[in-house]
Amino acid sequence: MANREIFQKSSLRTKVLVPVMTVMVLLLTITVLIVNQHFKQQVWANSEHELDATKMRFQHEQIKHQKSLELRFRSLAREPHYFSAFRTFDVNTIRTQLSLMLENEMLASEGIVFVYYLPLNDSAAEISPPIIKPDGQMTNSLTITAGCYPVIQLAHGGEPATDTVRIGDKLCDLVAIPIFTDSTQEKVAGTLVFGEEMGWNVAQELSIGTGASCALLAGNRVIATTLPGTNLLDANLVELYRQLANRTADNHAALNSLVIQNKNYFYTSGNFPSLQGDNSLGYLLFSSYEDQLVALSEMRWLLLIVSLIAMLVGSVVVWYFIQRATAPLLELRSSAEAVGRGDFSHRVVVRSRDECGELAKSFNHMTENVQSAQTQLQQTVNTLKTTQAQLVQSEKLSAVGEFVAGVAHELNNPLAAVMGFSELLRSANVDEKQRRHLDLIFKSSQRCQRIVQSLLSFARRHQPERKPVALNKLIEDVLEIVAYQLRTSNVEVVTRFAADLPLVLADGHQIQQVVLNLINNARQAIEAHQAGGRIIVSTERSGQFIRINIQDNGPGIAPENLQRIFDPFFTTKEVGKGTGLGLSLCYGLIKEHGGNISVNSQPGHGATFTIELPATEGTHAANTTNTFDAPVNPHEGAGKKILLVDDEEILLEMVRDDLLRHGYEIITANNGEVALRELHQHKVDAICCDIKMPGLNGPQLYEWIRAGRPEYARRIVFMTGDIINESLQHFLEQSQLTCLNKPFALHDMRQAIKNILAETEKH
Amino acid sequence: MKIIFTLFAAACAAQMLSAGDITGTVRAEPKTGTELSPIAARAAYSSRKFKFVERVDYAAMRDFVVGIEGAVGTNAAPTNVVVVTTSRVAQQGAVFTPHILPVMVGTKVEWPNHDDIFHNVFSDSEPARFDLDLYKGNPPNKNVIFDKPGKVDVYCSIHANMHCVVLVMENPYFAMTDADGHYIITNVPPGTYKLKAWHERLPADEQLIVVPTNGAVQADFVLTIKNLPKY
Repeated sequence: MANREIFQKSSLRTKVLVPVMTVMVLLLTITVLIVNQHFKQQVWANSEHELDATKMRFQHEQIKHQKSLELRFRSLAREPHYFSAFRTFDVNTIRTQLSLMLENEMLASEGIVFVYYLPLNDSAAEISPPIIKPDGQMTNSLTITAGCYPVIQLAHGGEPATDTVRIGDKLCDLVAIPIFTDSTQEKVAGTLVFGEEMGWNVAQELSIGTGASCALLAGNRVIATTLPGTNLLDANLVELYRQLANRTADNHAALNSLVIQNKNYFYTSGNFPSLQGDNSLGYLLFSSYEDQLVALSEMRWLLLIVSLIAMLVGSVVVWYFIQRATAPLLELRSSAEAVGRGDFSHRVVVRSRDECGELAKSFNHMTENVQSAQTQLQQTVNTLKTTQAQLVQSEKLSAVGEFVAGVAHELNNPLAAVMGFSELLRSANVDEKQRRHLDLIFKSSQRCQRIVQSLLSFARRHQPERKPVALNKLIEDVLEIVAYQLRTSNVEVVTRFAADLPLVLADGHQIQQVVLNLINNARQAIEAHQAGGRIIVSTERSGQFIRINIQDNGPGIAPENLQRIFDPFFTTKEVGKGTGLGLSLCYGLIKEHGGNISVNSQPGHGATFTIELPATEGTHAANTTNTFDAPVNPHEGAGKKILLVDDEEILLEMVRDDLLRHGYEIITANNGEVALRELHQHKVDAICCDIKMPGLNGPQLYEWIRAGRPEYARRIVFMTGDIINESLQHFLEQSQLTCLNKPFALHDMRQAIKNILAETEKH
Repeated sequence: MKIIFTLFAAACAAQMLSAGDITGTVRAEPKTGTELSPIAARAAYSSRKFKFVERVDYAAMRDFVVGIEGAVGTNAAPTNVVVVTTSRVAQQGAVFTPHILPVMVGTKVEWPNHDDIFHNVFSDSEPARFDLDLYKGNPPNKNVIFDKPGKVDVYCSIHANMHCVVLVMENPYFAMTDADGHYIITNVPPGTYKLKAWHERLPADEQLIVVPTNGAVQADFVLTIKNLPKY
C-alpha cells in the first residue's frame, strides 16, 4: 500500500524515469554478465587451444633440436680427417680425434656432453667416451648405459637416428651417426653417438621457441625449469607430472591451472619420444594466462565504465525527453491554475502538433470560451443589476405614481366640487364682477384639473394606442407638468409652435413621455452646468413630417458620445442618477411611430434634439372644452329619475343640484347598499355611480345590478377620481360602460346621462 | 742441435781449405713508420677496419733460413738421414718436429711416429709428392728422399693442424737462425754469391755477398712486408 501511495505521489517524470532507468540498469547488467561470461569462456577456450598448440610447438621444437644435432654431425664421418681417423680403427686415434673435435669446436659449451664411438665389428672394443664437463674438465663419470643401445642399433642400419634417454641424473638427446670406413659408404664400421644434455640451456631454448615456461623431468627429478618462481619445489613439479600422467585419458577434461608467484598458469605435460619407451622422461609446460586475465579484468572495467557512461547518457537523454514531454503539461497545469483563479490572460504556447499541442490548443480554445462565457455572464449580471436598479426605480416611480394617483384622486373630488359649484354659481344670478370671479375660479380649477389629469395620465399605465394627437397641446401639457421644476431651475422655456399643425396619429402618452424626457434631459444638462438657461421648443411642418425641435443652451454633448447617445444603458450621469434608458426608450418609441429622432450638438453650444413624426391630414380642431356658457335647459330632464351614488356628500350635492336644475328627478345614495335599497323602492332611468366607495363599490354594485336588476345594467354612468387600476380598466372595457373622470364638467356629466337615456329610449 | 752439430763439424773440416764464413742476423720488422704505442695499436686493431687482420708479432719470429742461391761447386748429396718426428704436445693435438727443415737435395728424411695414435704423412707439393699412409711407431720404409730443390709442405691426413716445411736446398751452404736471430755459414768457398734469407710467412730477401778467402763476411737481413711486390 505504501508503495502504491509513493507511486501515486511521485511525479510523471519519476514514473517514467524510474522504470526506464531500472530497465536500462537491468539490461546493462545482463549484457555485462553475458559478455563477461562469454569472454571468459573464450579466454579459457583460447588458453586451452594455445596450451595444446604450445605443447605441439614444444614437441616440434624438441624434434627440431634433435634434428639439428643430427644434421650437424651427419656428414662428419665423410670429412677426410675423421674418415682417416676412423679408418685406423685405432681407439686412441679416434678418441684423440673426437676429443680434439670436442675441444676445437667447443661443443661442450653447446651442451654436447659426450661422444661415443662404437665399432661394429668389435663390440668388445668399446671406445671409452671422453666426457667433458661444462667447466672443460674431462670426466669418466658418464658411462654409456643400456638406454643408448636402441638408437645405436638403429644407426647400425645405416641411417642416423635420434633418441632421448636418461643417463645417470641427466637427460640427454642422443644422435647416432653410422660410420663408414670404406669408400663405397655401404658397410657400417661403427656408430658415433653424440649426447647432448638437455639442461637449462635447452629448456631455455625450448621455452623461447614455444613461448611457455617448461620443466624437464627425468624419472623423479627435475632436470631443468624455466619457471620464474623458485617457490615451487621440484617434488611438487614431479607430483604434478605424475598426476597428469595418470589422467592422460581424460586430458581434455579440464584445464589445469595453478598460481606461481601470484601469476596464473595453465599447465600440461608430455613425454619425450623414447625408443625404450621410458615414460618417466617428460616435461611440464606452463602457459601464463596472466595477460588474458588482465585483458579480462580490463574488459570488465571497460564494460562497466561504458555501461555507466551509457546509463548516464541514457538517463540524461531520457530526462531531457521527459522534460520536453512534461514541460507542456506543467505549462498547461499552471495555465489551468491561472484560469482557475480567474485569470484568462494566460495562453498556453502551442509548440508542437502532437497530442500535447492539440491539448494546448483545446485548452486555449476552452479558455477563450470560458472567458467569453464569463464576459457574457458578467454582462448579463450587469444587465440584471441595471434591470434590477430600473425595477427598483420603476417600482419607486410606480409607487410615486400610485401616490400621485391617490393624491390626484383625493384632489379630484374637491376639484370637481370647486368646478361644479363655480359652474352652478355662475348660472345663478350673480353680477358681472362675480361672474368674472367665478370664471376665474372655474378656469383655475380647470387648470388644476389638467395638472391632475396630466399627473394621472402619466402615472397611469396605458395600452399603446393610436389616436390623432395635437402635438402643440401635448407639448403644452408636458410643459405644464414640468413648469415648476423649470422655474425653480431658472430655465426659461420659449415655445415656437407652428399655428396650423396637422394632427399626428400617435400614442399621446408615449409622445408626451418622449418630450418630457427630452425636456428633463435639457434641464438637467443646463442645471449641472450653469445657473440658468433657455430651452426653445418649436414645432414645424416639414413635408410629410412634423418636426419637434428641443434646443437648449447647455454644455452640449461630446462628439464621442454623440454616436452612442441612443444606445441602451449609455449614460454620462453618475451611477444611480440615471438608468441610461431614457433616450434609448425615446428612440424606440419614435421609431415605433415611424418617426425619427436625431441629435445635433456642438460642445459648448448646447444640443438640439429633433423628433420627426409622420403627419395625418386635417388640422387640429379648436378645443371645445369651454361649453361653460351653454344655457340652462330646465326641462332637459323632465320625467327622468336618476340615482346618484357617491360617498362624497359634496359631489353628490353638486351633481344633484345641477341635475335638478335641469329638470331631472334625483335620488341619492351615499353607498352601494343604500343604492340597492333605493333601486328596490324606485324605478330609475339612469344610475350615476362612483367607483371607489366604502362598502359595496362601483363594480360590485354593477355585478349586483346585473344579477338582480339586469334592466339597469346598461344605464350606469361611472364616475371616478382615477382609473389607474388595471382591473378597473379591464372591468370598464368588459362592461362597455361610460366612465367620467373627476373632476368633470357638469355638462359632460349631463351629456353622458343624455346619451344613456337616448340609448335606452332606442330599445 | 744435431743438425747444427753436423754442420759445425763439416765447417771445421772445410776450414782446412781456403774458405770464408758468412755471419749475420735476420729479423723481421713490421711496416716501418707506423709505430704506435701498444695501447693505440690495440685500439686500432679493435677498430672495424682492422678487426679481422692477423696481429703478427714480428719480433718473436724465428726459423729463418739463410742460404746461397744456386749451385756452389759440385757437392755430393749428404748421406746422413734427417729425422722428423711426429708427436703430441700435451693434449693439444699432434705436431711435426722440427717445423722447418732445410735439407740438401738428395737427403733422406725419416718420419717416425712417437705418438700413441695413428698419423699419416703426406705431401702434395711439386718437388715431392708422397703419402706414407697411416701408421703408428716407426715402421720401415716410412722415409722420403728429397731429390728436387724447393719447398715441400708436409701434412697429416687425420690432424689438420699438423704441418711442417721441408726446404730442399741446392747446396750445403745454408743455416737456420738461432734463438737470437744469428746465423753462421762456414767454409764457403770464396766468391761472389747471392745470399737469400727466407721465412715461412714473409717475402724472401736477397743480398750479393763476396766471401773472402779467409775471414768472414757480415750479411744482415731485415724481412718485412715492404718487400712485397707492388700490387
